[in-house]
Amino acid sequence: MKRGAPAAGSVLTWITALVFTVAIGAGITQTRILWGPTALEHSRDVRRLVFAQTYQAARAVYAPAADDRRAPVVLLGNSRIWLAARPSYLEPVLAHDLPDRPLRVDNLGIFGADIRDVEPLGRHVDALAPAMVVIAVGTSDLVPDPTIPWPTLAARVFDLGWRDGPVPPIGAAEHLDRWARTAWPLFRFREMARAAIEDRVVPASDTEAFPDHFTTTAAIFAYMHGPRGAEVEAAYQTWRRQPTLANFTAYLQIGSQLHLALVRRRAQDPAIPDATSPGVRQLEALLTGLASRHVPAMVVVMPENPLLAQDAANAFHQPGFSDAVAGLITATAARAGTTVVDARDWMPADQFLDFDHLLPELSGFQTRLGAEITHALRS
Amino acid sequence: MPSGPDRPGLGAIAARALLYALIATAIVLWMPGRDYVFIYQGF
Repeated sequence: MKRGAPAAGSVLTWITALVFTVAIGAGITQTRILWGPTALEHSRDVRRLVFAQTYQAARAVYAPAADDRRAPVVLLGNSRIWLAARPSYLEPVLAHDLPDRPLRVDNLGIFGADIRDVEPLGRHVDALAPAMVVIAVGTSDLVPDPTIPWPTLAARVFDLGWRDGPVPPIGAAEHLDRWARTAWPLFRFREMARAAIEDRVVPASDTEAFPDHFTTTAAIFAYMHGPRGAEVEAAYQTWRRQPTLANFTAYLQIGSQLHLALVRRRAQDPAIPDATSPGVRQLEALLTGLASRHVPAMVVVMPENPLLAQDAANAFHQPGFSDAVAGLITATAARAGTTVVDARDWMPADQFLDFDHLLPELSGFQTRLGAEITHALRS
Repeated sequence: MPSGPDRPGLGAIAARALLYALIATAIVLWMPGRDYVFIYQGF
């Protein structure tokens, strides 16, 4: 039998291979293989938490649910908003305040995200046709935390395009990487696709979804700290009985040492951003981009713990930092014509989990946030 | 497309192209890269 010429040498083979590669990629990145429910997104493994939240945010904008006809209120930000406004307790507030307008809440907060992550994510929210985009920003969120590895997964999957964003990549490799992510979805989503495929073969076993509701701080600490929950609750109750800054830090020393270290580190950073800082430019790019695309948006400067007023030694805050950055946020939003809600002094100290985060559901933050969203939607 | 000594058959081309596509997909999915598993230090 006569053999034909080797297929490997045929141009047609390589063209066909390219077509097949694109087709296989689409078969992964545009289907439930990548975007179907996974066990990994409910893993109790804290090392997987940020990955899972980024994955959920990517699913929300790249594969939005087609069967939910309610217009979404999209929340962008980090752990501050992720914890403080879960859909399970913000949606009932909105349903009460706006009974004639069915709304759902898409909380796309990602732990550790700062404006470098939120700005590129904000470029994709149009796909959701949102009733409102709420950009929840803490005054420290315009300054990157040096302990967070960069680029984050969020930056990789959301920062696309042929042209540079507000803060250009540094070198040719970053440009090439972004162009490849833009042109080839399988390359963009490779970490997520790998994790999803592996999860479908061997599902994560240590799963427990974040509870829809909390009725006590003990329940919050039991979920967050597992077997150490009772010890943390005891320290928390000691602080509640004697609400001093010293007792609060003693409670955090038991429950949230990493957070305490983060806040101390932040307080030692002398840099206060100005209008030319990368974070401010990215915020402006986010807000002007949303405005130019006629996406309704508002900025919420997230609550700050009033216990910081007792911090006479400046161990946990920089005097003047919060006001300076809030002023920058307000001025930046004004240039884009975006409403700003300054919620920094909304909440008493006993509604905080730590210096940055509110008690999920128990703080009642969702009621005031819902009122502000309702007001914005009616005006 | 007729096959012959100078031109591979369609079946051979498709099989070889599929092999290359699967290899490329596997390389992209499991290529070494950044480790996105890290502990958020905010808590």
